[in-house]
Amino acid sequence: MTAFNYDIFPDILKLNFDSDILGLMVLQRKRLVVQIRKEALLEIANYFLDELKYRFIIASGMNADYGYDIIYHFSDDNTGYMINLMVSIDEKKPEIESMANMISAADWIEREMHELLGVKFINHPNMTSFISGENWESEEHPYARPPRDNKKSPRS
Amino acid sequence: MSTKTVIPIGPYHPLQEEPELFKLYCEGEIVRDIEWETGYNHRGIEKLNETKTFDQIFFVVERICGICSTSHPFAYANAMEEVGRVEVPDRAKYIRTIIAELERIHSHLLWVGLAGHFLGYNTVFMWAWKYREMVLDIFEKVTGNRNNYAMFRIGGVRRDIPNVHIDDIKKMLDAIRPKLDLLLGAVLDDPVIHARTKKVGILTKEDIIDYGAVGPTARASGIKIDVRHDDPYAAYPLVNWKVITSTGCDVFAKAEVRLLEMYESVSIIDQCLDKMSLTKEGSFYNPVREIPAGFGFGRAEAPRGEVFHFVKTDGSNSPARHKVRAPSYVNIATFKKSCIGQTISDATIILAAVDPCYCCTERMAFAYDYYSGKQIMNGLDLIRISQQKTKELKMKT
Repeated sequence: MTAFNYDIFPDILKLNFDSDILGLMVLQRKRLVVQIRKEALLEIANYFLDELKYRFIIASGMNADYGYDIIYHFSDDNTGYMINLMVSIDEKKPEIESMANMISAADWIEREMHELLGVKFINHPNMTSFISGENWESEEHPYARPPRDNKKSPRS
Repeated sequence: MSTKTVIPIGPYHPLQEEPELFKLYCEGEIVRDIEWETGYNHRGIEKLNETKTFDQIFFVVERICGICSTSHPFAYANAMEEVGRVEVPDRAKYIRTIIAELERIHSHLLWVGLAGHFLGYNTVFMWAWKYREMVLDIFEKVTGNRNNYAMFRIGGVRRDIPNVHIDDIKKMLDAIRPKLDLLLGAVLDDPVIHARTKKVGILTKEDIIDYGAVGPTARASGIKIDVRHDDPYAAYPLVNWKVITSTGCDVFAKAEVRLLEMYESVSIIDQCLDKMSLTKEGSFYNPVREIPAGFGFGRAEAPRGEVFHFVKTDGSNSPARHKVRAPSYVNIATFKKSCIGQTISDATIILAAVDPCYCCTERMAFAYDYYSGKQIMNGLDLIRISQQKTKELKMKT
């Protein structure tokens, strides 16, 4: 595969996915963060994995004011670029389509994020407990954000 | 903090760094299915780091892995320097690279020893671990510790390697080269090792891509990925070296890749020492005042593959989110492909081939009957039958 031209990366993304792209940040040292609509995750991830042959590194789930953010990290090993697809999930409907049917590497991390944060991954092939074992209440998600009125206390 | 943090503490070997329970479901001699349970030693490090300052986190992440204790601080430092746009002095780049490569040598030697033990070559085990001591002695001399060296900080390293130590390290490199030749010959020329490891535990290129496997596990299947080469950091772009790959896809190929990588590490350290001697002593870090809000994506090539750290900062002195992905997280998942269909006597070496910090696993691998679900063997039995198979092969040759 020839090296991807990152100078025209925003244009290519816009051309292919247009309204699914909500924002794009170019950070230093070959790092890009692309904010996308969560409904378009599988289509865009498929474009990176199948067409551009990127490697799925991992996903990072985190709390946000409105619910959750998940960043899916992809690596272009030919150039050292890292593309990060960021999706926002509303706390009222904390669910997103699973990527595990597309790539096995997403299996474990989605189960982990489900257990720790409480995000539901729709159509995951094996959504069983992963790190908490059987001695954990399935409704308890230890890293989930506390209720909104308990704002994070300032760090000392 | 108001955040409610509940951390499940596992029952199995909480002092080990990577406990997992593997359940091999067997039909006669053949492994038909594999299951695992993990999280028994979940320490909540990602959450814990949200309560630590950026500088304290180095000491936490250093303890994620007990063998390669520099790979996590390296990836974390790369992530933080990306957020803070921090430049690192050349001398610190060389010191970081030297420490990381010394660690690769001792980690690979440890693996060679364990692999020898599982195959019934206890002499290889004792040799490899004896030669590993030479590297640990150097660590003790230059950092004060045999492991957990506490060398990294944002903007450079915590302490210099004075030029007077260059000769000590070079002497060690000269002494270890013939030892590596010995181990390479012992492994690559032994017909019994060939019989035990060739065409065993095959991982195709497609398997590697599907599971996102990294490091020697991927390179042994012909996939040329190495963060040091693909996304160069520290002094790796300043020295000459090559990425070792093999197309064997089996256990033998993984051993070959690791053995040959140690020569590259020796060469990298040698070049770094020469270049470091030309830099100014004492200039080993740039002070960092504050870290702005932003994202940092750091990675480093650990002995087992790519370590990935993601840090989200909010302008305070600790991270808002810190995600860590160790290479074993993606490598271990490949067992689903490499173990199934193999004989149970080969299962031990296949599980060991990805180097999943095996000291934990050997006590917790169990074999179950495929139909009744009854436990038929434990980890020690698995090693025993693996060693027995080698013994029988030796008697035949």
